[in-house]
Amino acid sequence: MLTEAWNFPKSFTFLLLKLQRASAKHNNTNLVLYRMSHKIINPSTSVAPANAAGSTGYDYTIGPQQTLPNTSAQSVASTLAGTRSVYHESLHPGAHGSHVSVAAYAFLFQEMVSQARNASKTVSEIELRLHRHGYHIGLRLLELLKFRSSVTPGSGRSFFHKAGGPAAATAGDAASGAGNASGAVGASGASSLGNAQDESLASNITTMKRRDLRLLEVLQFVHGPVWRYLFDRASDDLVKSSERENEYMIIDNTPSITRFISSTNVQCDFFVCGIIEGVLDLASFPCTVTAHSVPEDKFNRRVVFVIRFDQEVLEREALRF
Amino acid sequence: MAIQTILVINKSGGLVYQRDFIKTGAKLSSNEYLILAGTLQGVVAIASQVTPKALQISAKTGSKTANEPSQLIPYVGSLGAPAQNLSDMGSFMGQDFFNESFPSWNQSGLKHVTTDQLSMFLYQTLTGLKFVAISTQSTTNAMAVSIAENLLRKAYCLYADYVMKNPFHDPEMPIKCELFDTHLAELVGQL
Amino acid sequence: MSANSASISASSAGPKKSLKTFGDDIWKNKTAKINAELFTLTYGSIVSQLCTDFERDFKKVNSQLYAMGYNIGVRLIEDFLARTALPRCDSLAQTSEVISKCAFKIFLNVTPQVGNWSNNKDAFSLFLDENPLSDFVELPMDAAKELWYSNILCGVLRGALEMVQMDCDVWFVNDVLRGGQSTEMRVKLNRIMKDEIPAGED
Repeated sequence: MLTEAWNFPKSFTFLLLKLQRASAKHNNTNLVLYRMSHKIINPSTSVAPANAAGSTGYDYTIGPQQTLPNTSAQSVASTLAGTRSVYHESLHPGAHGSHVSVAAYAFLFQEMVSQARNASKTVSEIELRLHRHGYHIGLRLLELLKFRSSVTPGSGRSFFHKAGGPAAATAGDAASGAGNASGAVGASGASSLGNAQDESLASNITTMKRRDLRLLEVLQFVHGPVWRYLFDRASDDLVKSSERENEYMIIDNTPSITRFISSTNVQCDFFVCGIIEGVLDLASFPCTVTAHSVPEDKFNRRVVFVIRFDQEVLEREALRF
Repeated sequence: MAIQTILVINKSGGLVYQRDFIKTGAKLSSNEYLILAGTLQGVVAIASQVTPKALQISAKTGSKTANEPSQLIPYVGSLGAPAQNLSDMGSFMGQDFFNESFPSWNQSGLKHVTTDQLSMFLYQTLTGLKFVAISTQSTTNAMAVSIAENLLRKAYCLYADYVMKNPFHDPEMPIKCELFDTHLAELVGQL
Repeated sequence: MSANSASISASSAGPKKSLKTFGDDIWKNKTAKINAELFTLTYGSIVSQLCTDFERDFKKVNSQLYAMGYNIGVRLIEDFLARTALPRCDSLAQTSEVISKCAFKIFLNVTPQVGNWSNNKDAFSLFLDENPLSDFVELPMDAAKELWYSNILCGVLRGALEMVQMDCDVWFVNDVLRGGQSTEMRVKLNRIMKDEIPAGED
């Protein structure tokens, strides 16, 4: 599941737990927070502040280990200090806004598909691999987007410059400085630095956006915010199937990331299916998502994402009022 | 200027793409096209050998000092209809794929062949790829050559998008990309 | 060197236009863009999948990333040339400028610093102050020693330069993810493959 090579949710949870204390009166918030910590805390997160002073971490994919990398306390601490600001900035709504070229993305995507193709024997296996890549992204998006939309707009940017800016600008100095500090006072140096920053971001949040609980709300979330985040526009349509009760469709007339790929029997949009499924799964709407090419008039690349919810979702939906 | 055929030749002289845009008229067999591609590859090399050394040297020093105009291919504007009419600019943005004059990578090789019946234009990239356009018009007009070079650079842009970014295309192999076909046809159709 | 770069930019983009302005202009006005975080997340997903597939044998992950980068590089160079129409560089110094101010700018919207030239000017370093591949990333302890997280970039440069007939070695010397002070990539030119330079180009 959550592999560690890029586990940003860690400090995320860390931060959320702080928030939980601050705003415990919001029941909804608590519910969401519970879910998040339940799903997200990663047992493999070995580089916790307590471990920073050169102790060994635990890696669940390997199990107990005799010899772990003998990283010096200082370098771990400086990594920590460095990455903490990375977390901090990346969580901030103002952090989103930078771009890379479509070409760069297309080449990366192209190579990902090639890899999947080389490693697979059948078409459905290729699609499954692409789906899996997307799924990992979807899992992260739900929390990231909800969190960011909770930060009061406007208050953010100036703060971001004050605290985040200089830290980033002098990353080298800051890292070494913090490294020395925490080397001297142990792990507390690094963690208090982190806390200070976490709190200042928390102060910009009055109410946590809750996770969507109704089926239509969560679909709207995918159709709107998720699509806008990914492709800079909402999807073209959200439709309920007239034939099957549990089936919904999200329609994209001009799919962005597969736009350079001439149609083949492999449906590369399964990557996006994975993203959708990841978001919905984590929001507790288990489902299966498939992509179908359905050209229409002038949109000859039009793709329909069919979302089939598990039966339990409909049952739960019927219970509520 | 009506474009009859566009060819793409890979760096080893193999024909990887051939498409006719005019249905009438004499056609070469696929084998003959392969031979044409191989021949062109050789002729470009020979042409660069026979280009007088003096000319090459003056061209070189010229471009360093005075930025000799003959070294630059002028931008001739969006060819035919405005570029916004293209359904999709792919990973390119703006009014057109490019809007500045640009230097030719093919300084001394073969660029242009004219017969009584037709003209052939050749655009070679830094990687050794060749784009060839065959026009039904016999011309020695410098403007026509510029237009052809502009057209072929745009074809190269399309190649970068719809061939290079397609995971189902293997480099150096024949191009079978329907999106490249349609966009190229659109580009040529505008002329 | 300055004379060279003046001539290169003059010939491609009008007089007095530096490579930097040239690259910035293409990035700003000619290049379609996409959310950088989607890029980061997608790359993260690829790396983490490789770590699983190779059972956390990070040496294998490094070489696989390099191989993927190579495949990208041999394709990406065509996009770069179609977009910029830059002429062949006549020195490695010029190449380094084109890589940093044009290539990195146009594709990733960052401009690495060029430095650390070797005495005989056949090798240089690129210092990446920002790296869109590794935002969000913290390496787990077992990976921090061996994994070059952004190794794909080395492959891309190697592949792209090979296609313009420059045989180069490219590798990471340092990475902030591994606790280093900077993220440094080294590019070493072995030779120019003169035989393979397309005929007609003089």
